[in-house]
Amino acid sequence: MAISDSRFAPLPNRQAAAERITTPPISFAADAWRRFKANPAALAGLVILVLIALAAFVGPYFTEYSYSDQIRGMNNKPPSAEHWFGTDPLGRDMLVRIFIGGRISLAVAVFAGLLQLVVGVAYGAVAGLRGGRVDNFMMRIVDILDTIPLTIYVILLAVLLKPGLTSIFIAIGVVYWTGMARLVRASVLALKEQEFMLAARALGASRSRLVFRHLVPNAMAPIIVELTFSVPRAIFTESFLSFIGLGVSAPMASWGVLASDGFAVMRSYLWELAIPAAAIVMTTIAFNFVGDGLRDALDPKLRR
Amino acid sequence: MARYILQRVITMLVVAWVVVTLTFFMMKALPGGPFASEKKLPEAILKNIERRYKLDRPLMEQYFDYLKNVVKWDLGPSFKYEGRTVNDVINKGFSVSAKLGGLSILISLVLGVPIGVIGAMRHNGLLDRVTSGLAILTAAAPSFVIAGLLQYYLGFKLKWFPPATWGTTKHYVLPTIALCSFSLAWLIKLTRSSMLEVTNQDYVRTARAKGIPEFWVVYRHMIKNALVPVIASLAPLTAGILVGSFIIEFIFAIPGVGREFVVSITNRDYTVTLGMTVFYGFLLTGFTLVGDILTALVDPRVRLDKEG
Amino acid sequence: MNKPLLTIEGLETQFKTYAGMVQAVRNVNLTVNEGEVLAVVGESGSGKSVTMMSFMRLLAKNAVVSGKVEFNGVDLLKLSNKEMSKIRGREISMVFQDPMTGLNPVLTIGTQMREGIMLHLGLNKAEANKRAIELLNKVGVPEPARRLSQYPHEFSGGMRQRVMIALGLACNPRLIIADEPTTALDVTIQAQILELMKQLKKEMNTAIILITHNLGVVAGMADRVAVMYGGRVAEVGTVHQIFHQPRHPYTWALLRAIPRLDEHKRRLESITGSPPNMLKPPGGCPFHPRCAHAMSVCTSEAPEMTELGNNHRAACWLMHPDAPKVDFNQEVTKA
Repeated sequence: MAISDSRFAPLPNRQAAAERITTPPISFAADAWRRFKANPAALAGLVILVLIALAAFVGPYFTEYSYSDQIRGMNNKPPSAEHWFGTDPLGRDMLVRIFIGGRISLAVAVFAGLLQLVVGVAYGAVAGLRGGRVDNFMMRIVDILDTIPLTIYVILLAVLLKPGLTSIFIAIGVVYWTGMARLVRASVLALKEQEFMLAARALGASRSRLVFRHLVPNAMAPIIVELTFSVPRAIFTESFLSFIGLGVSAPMASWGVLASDGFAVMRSYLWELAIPAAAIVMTTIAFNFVGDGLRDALDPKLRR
Repeated sequence: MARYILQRVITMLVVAWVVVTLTFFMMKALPGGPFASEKKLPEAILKNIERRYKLDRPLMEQYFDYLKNVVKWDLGPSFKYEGRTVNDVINKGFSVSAKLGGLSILISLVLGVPIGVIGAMRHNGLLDRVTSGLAILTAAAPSFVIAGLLQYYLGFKLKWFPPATWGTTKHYVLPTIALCSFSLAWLIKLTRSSMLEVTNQDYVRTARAKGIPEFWVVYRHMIKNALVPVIASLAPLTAGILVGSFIIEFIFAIPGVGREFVVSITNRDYTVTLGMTVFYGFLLTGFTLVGDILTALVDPRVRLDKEG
Repeated sequence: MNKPLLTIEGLETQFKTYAGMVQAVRNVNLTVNEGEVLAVVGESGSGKSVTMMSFMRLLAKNAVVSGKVEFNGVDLLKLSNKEMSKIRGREISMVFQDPMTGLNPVLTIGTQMREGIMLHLGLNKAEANKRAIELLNKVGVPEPARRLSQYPHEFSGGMRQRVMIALGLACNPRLIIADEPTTALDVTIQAQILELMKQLKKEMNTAIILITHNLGVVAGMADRVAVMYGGRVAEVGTVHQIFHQPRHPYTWALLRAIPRLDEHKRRLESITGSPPNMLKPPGGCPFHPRCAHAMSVCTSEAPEMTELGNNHRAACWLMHPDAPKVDFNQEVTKA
């Protein structure tokens, strides 16, 4: 078999060809999204979360009932065409109460998460940036806080503050920030040594500018992941607080309050427990799936 | 090793001090705190409180006084019931709570660690999928829901076990299942991910390259390493059991300290809540210490790093 | 001396990943003779280590390995797990590149050394201990008896690497695969370790596969060299052939990248472009996107191995009689 001579002709412009990168570059976000999409559990979790959030915030406008209206003679009715999720012991429509409860539970979780974020980022960034003795001292405090039973302090705070929505998320947010602080500090320490930080400092950027323009965006990935896990934790803690009587006050309701109200009557009217409990379980699982998916998708080590 | 233990003991004493201080100043500083609303209290209790907390004295004096009392293991009187103290509550309920909690920790460890190991070895196998699914579900359901369902179905409907109160061995079953479900799920997940992490370590490959049979690679090289984080998690595990016991004891009407804690909260019996917070703080600090010492026994790096 | 000990024929290794099949090793053919040192060189990701791990059957479960690897007349890829573990550590041992993570942190050095010895040589604990002390002595670990009861973190990096080598030697294997045994060490210790390996090879007539990307190490130790690129063998020959009569453009590029003390004026060359993405390897010859001599045939068909005499072989279309002639001397030394 003879190969024709033209096949042995040199290819033109070799230098340029060699400099070409063999695979087209993919942006970090696009790559992360590609990997997130490839994870069916994470994608399902995201869809469920969007639906739940949508129901909680728009749902109440599509029903004629209000969360506080008591319908005469309609106590503890099981789910029906009129009342999809039945009614509660005071004759209130459960569907709209679940919607409203979702608002409260999600709001508590999100605000608690944001508070943790603010406290944790501030603390971790200061410790990491200052370094040395300050860092040592600050992290010792975190070590100590981590050894004490924080949930008990959430309870104590919730007892001592005036009961209500704000107290709950403050209690959760002020207490559970140590994980976030550790995370931010670690990212800061890792980033501090990198060249773009040196460059920014050489250009005379101030410390706060360094933190918020350079460090925070770069530490974003682990922070987002931590946040997705802290939200279900907060929903959980809120339901726990509701059960021991530290929840939001009537007629307002969170999922935790609805579930613990349902608990009281579960032997006769099981759905009154089952429905809010299912809402909590679904949301928690969905957040965990999304968190797992994000962790894998945002991990630069797994990038390929 | 001795130096390491001593160092940990000192750290834990500091932690215990922080617990007391934090608790004391929290109750003093917060606007809705116990002494802001001491209006409709019976005379005798008011006197008791004033004597005990020396409310007319300067803050620092109050603080040192409180500290002294805690050191003497006097956690203070009740805010609501005359002649009742936090110590009474603890003395009465602790043995019951300890039995329930201890049993739950034991079951979590005895079942959770092997299931986690097997799950990691047969990664994505049937057992792994079933336990992971169950673990996700239990970890996502509030414990009162699980407890309630157990009580309702196995207690009231099927009548397999007494649905509430405390006494015979049969009384242990439902609350123990309810209490350990969360920590069991958590421990399975922790052991499993720790094992999976170890699977990819270079030293495991080294062991295989030496021609060590698979069983010994797993047994000698992987499990011991994988257990380090599991043992280190003893304190958070206990904390989980402890917080869970508040709800479980309440639901199953078990006369333990956890139930008293919840009752003190619903009664707004502030001083009992505070005293018990300090008590729980100490308890967990103790478990942290035990966890640290056990970790050092398994992982030689820990004891030497800290000593050197 | 020239009796083949290990023969790799048509070895293919692929990894199943989320993104698709990664073709890590493609049609590799290599031979190691008894008592010789074969150096395998190439950039990171060229498939050097994966080739070795493939026939040692140490790859993760997502790897698919095919081909034939004969060791001492036995096809390693067909053995049961049990039979394979009798060969690992006993007949073929491995020395890994990272001494910091290669030893189990929670077991003493003694435990880790004894277990292989007791298993393969059937010694009891006391005898195994004696053997371990002997081995540590041989690799130059001072106070070996005391050292056995210590944990890996009490050893320096160099000492750990010596322990790893001692582990590799433990059962007098016929072949040692040393995967960049000196990369993690500083230069003086590197030299000591290499000297040690050379000496041991002489004493025990052990064959060594030395994986490295340090051509200086190759020149000092190897008998023969295989150059790998993109999961394939690009060129294989004796040290003399590879250093003085290289025929593959990738080998030329590698040699140009060696700093030389005798030529001050020349700028140190790096190889332009980046190694191929093994998920979607370029068609034809894997090196063609970076090759200065690429021809149109290179983009469509992978070149066959061409025998150049005296067991010197290269896989390049330039070996084809119709291809333009390129003077390798000029190519290696050109500025």
